[in-house]
Amino acid sequence: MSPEFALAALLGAPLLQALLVLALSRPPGLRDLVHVLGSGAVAALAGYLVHAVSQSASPRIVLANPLPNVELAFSAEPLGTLAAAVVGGLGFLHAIHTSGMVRAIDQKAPARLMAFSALTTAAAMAVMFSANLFSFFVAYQALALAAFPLVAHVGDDEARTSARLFLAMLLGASIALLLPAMIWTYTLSGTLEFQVGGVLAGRIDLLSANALLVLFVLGIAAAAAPPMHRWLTMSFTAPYPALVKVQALAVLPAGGVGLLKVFAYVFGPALIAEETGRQILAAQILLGLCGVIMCAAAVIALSKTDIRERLAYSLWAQALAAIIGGLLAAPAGLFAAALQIVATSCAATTLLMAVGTTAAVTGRNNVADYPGLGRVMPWTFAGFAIACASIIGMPPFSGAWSKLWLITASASTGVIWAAGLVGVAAVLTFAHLGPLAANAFAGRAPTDAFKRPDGASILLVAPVILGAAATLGLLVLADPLASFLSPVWTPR
Amino acid sequence: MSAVMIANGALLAVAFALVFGGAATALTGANLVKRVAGVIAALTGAMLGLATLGASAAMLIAAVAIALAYCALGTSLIVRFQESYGAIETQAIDDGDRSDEPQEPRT
Amino acid sequence: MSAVLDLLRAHAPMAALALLFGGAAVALMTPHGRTSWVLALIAMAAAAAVAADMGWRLLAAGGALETSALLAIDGVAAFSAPLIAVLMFLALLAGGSTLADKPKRAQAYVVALHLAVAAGWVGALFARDLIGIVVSVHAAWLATAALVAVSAHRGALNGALRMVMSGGAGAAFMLLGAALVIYATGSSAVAGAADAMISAPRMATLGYVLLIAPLLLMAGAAPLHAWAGPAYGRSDAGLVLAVASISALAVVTRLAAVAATTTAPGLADGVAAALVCAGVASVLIGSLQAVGAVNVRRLVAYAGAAQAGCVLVAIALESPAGLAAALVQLLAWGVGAFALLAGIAASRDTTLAALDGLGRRSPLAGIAITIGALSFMGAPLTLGFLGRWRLIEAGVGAGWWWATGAAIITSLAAVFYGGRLIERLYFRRATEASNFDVDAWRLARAPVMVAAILAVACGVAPAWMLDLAQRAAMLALGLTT
Repeated sequence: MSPEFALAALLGAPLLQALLVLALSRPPGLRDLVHVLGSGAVAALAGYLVHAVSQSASPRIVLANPLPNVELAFSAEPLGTLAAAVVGGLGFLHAIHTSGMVRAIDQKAPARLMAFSALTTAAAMAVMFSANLFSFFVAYQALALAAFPLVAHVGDDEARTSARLFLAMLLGASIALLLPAMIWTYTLSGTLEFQVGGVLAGRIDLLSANALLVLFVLGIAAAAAPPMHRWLTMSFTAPYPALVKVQALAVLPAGGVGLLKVFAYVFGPALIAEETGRQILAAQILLGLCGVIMCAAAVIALSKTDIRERLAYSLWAQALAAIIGGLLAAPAGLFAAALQIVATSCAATTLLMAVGTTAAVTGRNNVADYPGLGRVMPWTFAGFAIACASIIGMPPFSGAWSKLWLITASASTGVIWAAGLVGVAAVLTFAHLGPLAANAFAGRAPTDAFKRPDGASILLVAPVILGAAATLGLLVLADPLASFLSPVWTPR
Repeated sequence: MSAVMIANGALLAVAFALVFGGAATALTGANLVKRVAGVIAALTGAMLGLATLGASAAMLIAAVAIALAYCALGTSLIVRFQESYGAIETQAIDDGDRSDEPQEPRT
Repeated sequence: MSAVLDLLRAHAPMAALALLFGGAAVALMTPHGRTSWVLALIAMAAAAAVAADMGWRLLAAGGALETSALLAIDGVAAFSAPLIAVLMFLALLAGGSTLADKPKRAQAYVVALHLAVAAGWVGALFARDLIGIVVSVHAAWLATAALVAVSAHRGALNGALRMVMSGGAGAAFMLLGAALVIYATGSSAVAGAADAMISAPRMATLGYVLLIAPLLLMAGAAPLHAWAGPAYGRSDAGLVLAVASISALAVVTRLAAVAATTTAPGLADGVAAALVCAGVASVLIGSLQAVGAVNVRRLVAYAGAAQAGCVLVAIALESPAGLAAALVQLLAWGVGAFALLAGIAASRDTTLAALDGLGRRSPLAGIAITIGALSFMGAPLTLGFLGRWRLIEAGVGAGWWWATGAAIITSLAAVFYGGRLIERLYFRRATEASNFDVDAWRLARAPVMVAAILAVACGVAPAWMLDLAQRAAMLALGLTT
């Protein structure tokens, strides 16, 4: 199998999966099998591409030529490929978990949920593999449209409001800010291609660089830079399988990866002011804003009693940490940001699946109801605790590694206060997640924990355990990942 | 400035006044007959303007044809309105339309 | 046979008009409604084929422009006339689905009026003289108003009345404008101003503005679109109204291109300034109204005003890139509107709520509305995106950065109303308000929807179409490619 074929198959497989899930929606067993196998195929293909890229392959496919000198093209480069592999692998676990969830809670229209879940995966993969800004823009809009039905899935007024906000925010920002930024880039550099070293480097004046940076950071609303984050904190009303997809596996990570690609391949050294050798003014302002809001998000999370809402704010803080890494405009910062995105994706998937399992078998969504549950659901809450520890940044979990790199990169680029803010946010994250995980095991076991006597099925528990194992596994892989990602900032 | 030029200027001013006044009546008249009369006045003004500016005979004939066509269609619409709404007052027609327009149900 | 074909090709503009007028006469004389519909379809298809062949020869194969005593072809006409003929063919095809709702004796007239509309607009694009434009435009407009008036709902009468009244006032302005231009340039030919020594440039500028303003009204540009709400909202002639908008904008493009090539001081700038004001106002007002609309056909009318505003801004650039952008946007707006209107017609009611669940009941209509809405949003890989991109590119090239704002406002508003449409189609269950058309003749709309969907999807590989638009713009501005 050639890498080009694998890339095309990876982008096409989820589309086929969506069609098959809809066509074979009955019997449910067949539908679930198709969903799990399709997700497995995506994971396997993404794994193969990681191998190919590590062997210096750089597959590229062109689907169309919609404008002169602008191609709808996708290519596998280290950053996107790594994120795709992690998201694809976790997506396989999530597919198994989804099969369990739709049965456990009698989810309405499960085939539709799975089909749009697959379409969202396809769009997220397209974002990660986009070879130029135009392809990124196309894939990003497709992502917003594909994820919209997931947010609206429940169909009540609350879900509809959230979904409208989600679509308006993601599409609106992309049209109002990202599109002009893209065209501006095109007029400045004559190309939209993602290039190592940045297409704008040496071609842009300071004022334009500042303005463009703001347009890109706010235009890619999926990355959740304030004030473009409302879609994230409002989307918690989606059903759990959709929530995992939107917050942990597709929209948020794709936004983060997209922004990193823009930092690395569009700006490059253009983010550094030549006179001072420091980040350009807009980058510094955004660094400060993201740092302060990251701490604020962690505090707000503390005040939320619905576990889904608390996690939404917590994940927002994590997403902001990734943006901070990218804005540092240094290889160490980019690596920290990439690691932060994959580590958060891993931990968030595990966490949300664990919370979903808990809600499915106990009907509990309120943090006040969590104490003691770890005693009756030890496996699920073991995964929950590991994921919490990773998000907090406790060693030896993968989140700790990304936080450490982030602090080091901040200090080495002379932005020591950013390192301080990352530390403060970690403490605040501990405050809103640590006691929750601890009390789940320390509290008295509730006598009426389960809605049904048989507890959680293997389909609901196994993915949580495997997700937690992946969170641990990433730690071991930190060094190979650094060498895998090195071409992002150093041309081969 | 010769007398002819002054006369032409005055005629052109009258033509413009007729066109603007007629157009205003055609768009805002209280009943349909007045509105059609407004159209005719505007087109008459246009013909006056054409003649003053020395337009060709073909152009004047075209203007007359256009005026007749609008007059014919406008008049037949008045008849249709009388049949359908039982009125040719603009207010009554607008009220009738508003009652026809279904309101969006609140969801 | 080949001799006849050669003759048709040699006199393509005249042949297209003759086919349309001849078809209208035959349709009128045919007593049976459906038969006259089929005969008219044949005539319209033949005229569309002749126009398309002519456009292709001129723009793709680099043929020479033709001029006769009455007719003349320029780049804008070569691009737009085939588009209008094809769209009118589709409109007539879809008109078959509502033909049975009309009184028996009116059916042949309705069919003939479609051909008259097509003949009027195509004639206005081919006319050599300004007076030809004025007469043709108003013939088409009156025929369109008559089609609106014979709609089943009495509310359509109000739309027709407003069309006739504003059209009549507009006719007076156009006649005065034509007379002023002829007086100032000394030539009655449309292209005459291009090489004339203009003695009174201000008079010529006023003349062009008076000529163009009523066309903006017919194009449905806000705030001159008071007729559009009731006409779109209550009649079943939405497709013909959309063609009227495109055609009027094409005629404006034609006139603006001539104004741009004159040497008279201030003329091109004056016309451009008028177009910019009208365009920006139309974008703002149309977008606001579309976001607030609850009648889904009115929504298309208001969205059309915003789209028309973008076209006007592109025309105002008066550069090859700007005119090409305008032509691409005309095409995008036309097929987008056709997709939306044909899809919406699957529901007999006109409220937004009536679309609830339509995506499931009528998947083709659902796809058509979705694709149309996406194109209006300027979603990538649709024709709408292409038009928006071309406008921004041309605007930035001319230093008109604010033109980006016009394109963005139009797209943003479209995200709101388009998102609402899509949500209704797929995320709501059918309610008592949903009253879907199940008549067998509704199948007449299916090819229209398919054609519109395919056309919007042309945005994936549009190189050939962009080339045609570019060459048309160059020809219109008298530049050689």
